[in-house]
Amino acid sequence: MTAFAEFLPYILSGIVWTLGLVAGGIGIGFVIGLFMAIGQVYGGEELKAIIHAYVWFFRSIPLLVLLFLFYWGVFPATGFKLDPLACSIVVLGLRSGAYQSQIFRGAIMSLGDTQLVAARALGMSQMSGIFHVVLPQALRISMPGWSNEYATMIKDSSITFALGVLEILTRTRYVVAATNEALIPYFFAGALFLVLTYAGTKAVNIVYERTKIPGLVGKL
Amino acid sequence: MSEKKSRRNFVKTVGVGVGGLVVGALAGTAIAPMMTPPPPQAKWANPPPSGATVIHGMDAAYPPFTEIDSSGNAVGFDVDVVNMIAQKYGWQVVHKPWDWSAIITAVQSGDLDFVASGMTITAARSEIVWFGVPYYSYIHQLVALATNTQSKDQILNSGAYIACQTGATSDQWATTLIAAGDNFQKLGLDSYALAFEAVTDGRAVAVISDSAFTGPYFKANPDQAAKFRVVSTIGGDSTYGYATRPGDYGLRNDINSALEALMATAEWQTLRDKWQV
Amino acid sequence: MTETNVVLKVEGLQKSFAGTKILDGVSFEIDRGQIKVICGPSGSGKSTLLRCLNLLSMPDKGRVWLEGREITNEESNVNDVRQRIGFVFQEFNLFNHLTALRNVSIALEIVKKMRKDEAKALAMKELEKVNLANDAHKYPAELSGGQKQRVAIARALAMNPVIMFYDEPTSALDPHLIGEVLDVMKKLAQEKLTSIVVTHEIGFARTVADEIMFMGEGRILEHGPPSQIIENPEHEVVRDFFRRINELYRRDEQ
Repeated sequence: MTAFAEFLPYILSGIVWTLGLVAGGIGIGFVIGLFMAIGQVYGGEELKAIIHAYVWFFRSIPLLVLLFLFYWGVFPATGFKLDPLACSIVVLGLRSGAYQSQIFRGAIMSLGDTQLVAARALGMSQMSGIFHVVLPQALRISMPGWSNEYATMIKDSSITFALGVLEILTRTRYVVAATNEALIPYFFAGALFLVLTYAGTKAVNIVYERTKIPGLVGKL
Repeated sequence: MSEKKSRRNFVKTVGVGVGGLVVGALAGTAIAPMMTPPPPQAKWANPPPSGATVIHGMDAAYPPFTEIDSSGNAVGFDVDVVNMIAQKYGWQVVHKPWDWSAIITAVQSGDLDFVASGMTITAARSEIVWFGVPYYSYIHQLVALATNTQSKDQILNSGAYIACQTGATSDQWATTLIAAGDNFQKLGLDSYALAFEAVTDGRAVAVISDSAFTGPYFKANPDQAAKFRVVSTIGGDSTYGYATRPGDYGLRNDINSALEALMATAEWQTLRDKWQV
Repeated sequence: MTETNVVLKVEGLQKSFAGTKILDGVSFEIDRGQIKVICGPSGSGKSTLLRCLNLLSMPDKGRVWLEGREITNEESNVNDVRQRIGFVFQEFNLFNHLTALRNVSIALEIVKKMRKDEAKALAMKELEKVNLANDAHKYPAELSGGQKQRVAIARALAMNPVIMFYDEPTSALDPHLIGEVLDVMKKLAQEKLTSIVVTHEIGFARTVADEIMFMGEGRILEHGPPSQIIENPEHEVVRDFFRRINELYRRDEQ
């Protein structure tokens, strides 16, 4: 047990990497997801088809497979040489984008079209209306689903051990080997993930409460 | 109606962007199997000069050859030897932990310059990487609980689970034995330590390990050693070697001369005693 | 009357949805300062007509001129057109995430590119006009239906439109709230703000409208001063419609 205690700082320093993966992945996913949601709701048929293909692709393939596919296949083939951390963030982001697009799409559609119609009737362009009227409401409505995406991303980040990214799980595995103990290190790692997930979703909830607007719910 | 045009342009741009991404991803995945990761052009065909950064790939979960200490630094028998070699030539060596299943590809692609991490020299691996001089020999073993009085044949045909380390040579032995007709089920674990724990837990009746692991492991943990007994050896001697990219003459030759020189000294045995290998 | 006095001119408007012809050749004109009410049974195309006039729906055939300039041709800019037409919806359609004040000022900032403080001041003025200055900071969910609709009117007014469209503005309101909205509309009518009002409120039409246009079968079946249309219409459908309404009121009085 004391052997493990010495390794505590080593595992804890993995938190920075884990959070880095999460922040990067969710950030990229947010941008991609938002654009795709807008495209799916307001775009033409060809655009909708492309987005549908993208979402289907990244939702069907297991994350581990995606990581290897991109690290050993796509990136070398296209000439980009990305290190494991960057590659992981990109892949996490691309995949999160697929899921987030569906969250935002659902939120936008739950508003109905009357909000945008009212904006257009005042003379706003389609983009202005989407940006100033639809999105502020849709994003607020999305928040509960979005905090779910955070929780998922925290867990998904641990899969990047396969590329050797020094996040929490990778470090735990090394400690297991170094100390010949399995239960305690993994127990600790599990507790760590629990705390991170709880803290994060709680933070999103606080933001949600702060930015809540009386009576703002989408049409059912 | 100029407004519609601007909307269409925006939508078109987004569409092209997303579409390009998808097409790129699909194209890459289609092309990739035909393209091995482009190897750097014989980076170390000439010996690395003093001050050069040389990247040492290792499995951080393979004590006592390569592991990490509580500060996260790489330590182990192989790490010590690599540090000595690096010091001799003035190299700036970086010890990079890497996932074992992808470590050879990482050497090919240039993410690592060489692997020194208890890597067994095999014919299959030799087709992809160059090995230096063998520096350690060991033999595979079938290990069971001390209370288990069965023979090797009995255990190998018990139909129960036998543990091994996934991706390691013990894994390959398990597959070979099953293919040759032995009746047992392979239980792959992340590391030998976990494989042994599987036996004490009762999830497996035995472990296919190797003396490179069990030697130091039992010496360092006499209480564990008491629980187990080595039932028999499996196969013949195997050796560890350092792996480098084909074409890196300079690096390999430097490593070889340093290793050979070191192995001839008393310091070599001191190191072995230190790590109990 | 010179051409420039005609605020809106409609010629032969046609619109179909899913094969059904909703508008089958609607034509009329409205002069500056006139208040015209459109009555008729549900499904006669009244809402569709309004939405075609501000291009929220695209007419299949027909032409429309706003202040002398055609809006149904290729060169017209849809956003510009809609700025000049104030539209009040049956379901209010306030922006739920904004306060009443912000609802009124947002289009001023974004579309008219006004400075924030200017827009806010103008918005307050419009809210005062509809008697809601004290509720400017409230969100739509905190307002009654009548208050919401008055905010919607203020929002449309703030853009300084040349004509107002009201699409059944009181149909979604509880009876006791209808009055406050009609009062605002009457006040605006007295100020000679050119308006087209689609409504079932016959009382309002009788007292405020310069002309009633009765729609049926996708066309304007008859149009004329309120007294004529309500009391003594020529067209049989129109006569039938108002007779039934009168009977309804008389039955209630008894």
